[in-house]
Amino acid sequence: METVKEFKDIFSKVRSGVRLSEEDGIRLMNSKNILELGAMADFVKRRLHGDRVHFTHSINVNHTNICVLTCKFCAFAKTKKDSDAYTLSVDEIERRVKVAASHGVWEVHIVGGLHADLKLSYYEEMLRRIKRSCPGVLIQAFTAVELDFYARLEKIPVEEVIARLKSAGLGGVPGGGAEIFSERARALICAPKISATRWLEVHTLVHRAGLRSNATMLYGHVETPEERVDHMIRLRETQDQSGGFLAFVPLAFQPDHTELSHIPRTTGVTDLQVLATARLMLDNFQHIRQLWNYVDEKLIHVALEFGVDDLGGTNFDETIAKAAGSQSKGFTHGELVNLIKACRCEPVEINSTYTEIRKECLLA
Amino acid sequence: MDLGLLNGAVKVDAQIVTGSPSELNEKILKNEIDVSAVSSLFYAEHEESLVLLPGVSISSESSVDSVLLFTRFPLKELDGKDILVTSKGRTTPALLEILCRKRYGFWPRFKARISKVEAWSDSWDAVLLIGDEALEWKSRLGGDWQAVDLAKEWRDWTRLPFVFAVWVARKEFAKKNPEALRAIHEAILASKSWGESHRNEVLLESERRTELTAPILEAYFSKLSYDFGDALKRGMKTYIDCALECGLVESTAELRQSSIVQTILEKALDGKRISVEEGARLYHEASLFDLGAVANELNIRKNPDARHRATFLVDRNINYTNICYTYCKFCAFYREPGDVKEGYLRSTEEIFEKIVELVAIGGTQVLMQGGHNPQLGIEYYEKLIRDVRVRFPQVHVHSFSASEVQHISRVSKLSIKETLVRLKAAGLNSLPGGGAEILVDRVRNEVSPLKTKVSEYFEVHRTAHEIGLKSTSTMVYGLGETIEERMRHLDAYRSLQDKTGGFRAFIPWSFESESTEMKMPRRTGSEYLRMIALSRIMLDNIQHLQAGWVTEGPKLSQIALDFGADDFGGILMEENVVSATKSSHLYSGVTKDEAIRLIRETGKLPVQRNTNYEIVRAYSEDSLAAV
Repeated sequence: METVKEFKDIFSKVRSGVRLSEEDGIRLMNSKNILELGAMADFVKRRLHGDRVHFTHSINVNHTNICVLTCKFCAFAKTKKDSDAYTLSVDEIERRVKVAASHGVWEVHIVGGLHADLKLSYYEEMLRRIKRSCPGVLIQAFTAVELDFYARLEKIPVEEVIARLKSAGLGGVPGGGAEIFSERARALICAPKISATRWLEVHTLVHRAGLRSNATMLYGHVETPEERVDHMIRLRETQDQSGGFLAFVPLAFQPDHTELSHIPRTTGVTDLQVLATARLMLDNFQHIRQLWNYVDEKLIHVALEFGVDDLGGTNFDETIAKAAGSQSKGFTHGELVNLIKACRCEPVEINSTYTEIRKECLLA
Repeated sequence: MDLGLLNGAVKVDAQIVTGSPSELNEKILKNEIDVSAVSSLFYAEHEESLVLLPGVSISSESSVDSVLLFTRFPLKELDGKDILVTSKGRTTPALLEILCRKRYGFWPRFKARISKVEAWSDSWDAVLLIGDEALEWKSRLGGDWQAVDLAKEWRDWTRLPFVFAVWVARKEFAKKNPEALRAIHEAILASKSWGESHRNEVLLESERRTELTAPILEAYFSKLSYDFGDALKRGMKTYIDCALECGLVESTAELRQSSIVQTILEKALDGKRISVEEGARLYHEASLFDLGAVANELNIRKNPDARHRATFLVDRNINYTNICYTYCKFCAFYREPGDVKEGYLRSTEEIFEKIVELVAIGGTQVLMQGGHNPQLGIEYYEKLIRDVRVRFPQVHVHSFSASEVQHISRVSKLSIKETLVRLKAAGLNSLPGGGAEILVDRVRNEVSPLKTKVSEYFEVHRTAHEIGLKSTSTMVYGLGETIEERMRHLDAYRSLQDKTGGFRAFIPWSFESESTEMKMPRRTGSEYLRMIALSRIMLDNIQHLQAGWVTEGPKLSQIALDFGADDFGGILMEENVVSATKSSHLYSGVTKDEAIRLIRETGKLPVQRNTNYEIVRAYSEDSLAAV
């Protein structure tokens, strides 16, 4: 029996490895036929990864919540005057990573607000110290937004920022700050942030410097389905040129405590439409990652059959999603492994460059 | 090699059908032809139903000249470049993908499938062509364009020849007509020999049929081999193994499994009943999407409106007492008789207050359920129902599980029938399905030894149906039961339904064990969708299938509407029983507006119904949700 009927033509392209067009993408993204979307996305996922589901054992460090921007979708940012504003010292950051590494964590994910007074030397020192005490830990740090900001603060080209951070120990760049590429939507939710073009440019430079990165998309706010597809296509085209993206990470907008709290949470149908369409459109992205802290647990199980092969990190500490009222509680390493196994998949631990971990070299 | 057969030089007592490779593939799948040459990939995928004819193939020892990748870059530098690929057949694109991925470690980017190249473009990076077209363009192209022979690449890498196609017969045909098959096989071999000894005739005929000249054709034919010796067999096996590893073809083991599963799914689509064993197999082996597609189809057949609408109920669960002496291990709600701190028996006023709130939001059903309180007999229940019905005539009393009914009959020393007759007379509308959990005594004896046994549960429902009361059916899975036991549970409902037709709906949900005496792993979301789909497939005689969000979450219950459920369930203004686990994994507060939004996002019209599945109100796009 044929499960894929309405999208037979698209499925045929997918089976033969032919790239889907923007029109195809829009059809998929607008379709309520999630059964067929899932069947196709699952086919692609199985072809690429079989039963394997990747995750990392990682710690999140948000070095500061002080930010010069006021993006409407963010519940994390504070100004210097706020009572709960903070900036972590390098000592504190090093301490946290060491504690995590002693628990077998092999990746630290560092992102924070755009702090106008922190020099590049702060970040270099941060990286150097982590590398010195935990040489085996991969440092995935600083979104394109942050890198661009440091460049402007120091009045040097962003290539130089990347090079300096890389020699200080930067191992990869996270996918944040992409939000939605459409200029129209961007203007509505984060007008002062860097443009899509600049974001893509920074990532291209990151790839040229020999580092890999991820790419995100924030959905479920003011964007249209067509704008989501446009976002994916622009990523796809950039990937064609620079080839350094590893995972695509769609993020469901969390409305609580933000300026956009009137927007209702995404429904399951939307989440799965986005995941499946992403898997089908992004033929040059190896991995589709669904962060567990953005959707509820039972939906993650289903997501694993809708094209997702990566669940992100266990995240010892997570502030950004929690501030905006995400409904998930945490996962320990064991729980994440069990979840993957309960879904009849094979858990594969990696770090964010998808390389094998050398556990014995975690601590100096 | 088939020329001898085609021109009559070799006689065979069979009809000869010609066509393109894909046409012939289709014909053999549809049993329209019995013997054919098929590609290696096709053979791998349909091995189960085919017999390989020995001694003959279409292969090449090394370069073949007619499978060419025209490229401006060496093959290993095609990472990130666009490759145009012939649409004729899958074997060579698969070969190219295997070479790129396994030999050179990159993923080839196939840009488009082309059926015929009319004009060449120098802006292309690489083009994969086969057959006559490949030969033609090879003689025309020059300059930057190299022609990489994929069979030679294969040879260089594996030291094996490449088998493009093999001759096969349908297994069924082979079994029924062994003599005829033998004759045909011999004719094919004879044609092969004839071709080898009549090369000139073959060349002339080919020249006539194609646009190619004799020298090119001669070179072409010299590269092809029609034997099927050991080396060739190994070559084919290696190619098929590579294709399997790259996911280019499903493994035959998977296929064997899947063909049994396919048969069962076809059976369900034919409207035939699925047995307990078949249901269990589907659960274990069928893909979630195949299950969903079948369940969806069956749903629409039973509920034609489900194609574009989903129903929901505005209801409230009121627990009149939590005092209970049945001590079920899976329950965190009960309090022992004598528990003055946390035990309660709600007064009629308290209950009325709750129903007032329900009616204010347009509610139509109250589900009253409680523990087995030894102080409460039939009079209590009659009075409760009567009072509610008098005060709120527009509200349906869908109340008291089968185990409560049994409890009442014991306390008041009545038969089940007498109990139900009196409850109905007092104004009871219908019975909920609660107390089912898993309807297999082995499980019940483990988790709730003092509760109704399977036969007692069904006695209540059967009697209810006999006196004109409808009921619903339920399942709580994840209590330590086997999959087969879940299917037996469904089958048990099904059998009673055959006799009485009194079950209106079925609702499954997963067990939440926190704060209970039983520590069980939480069941997954994909399992829930699987259970929804299977419930629809197995319960061929129960009309409605409800999703439920308390344990699964509103996102999943929304998705369940595409996996066989026609009803979103109740918004459950109040729910205390499962929530007594105080588990952070439970979901709270799906309001009426939220239910409407969730249903709308599936592309369906949200329709509020009442307990009797009559329509109360449809919420079309522009109507306001607020009452």
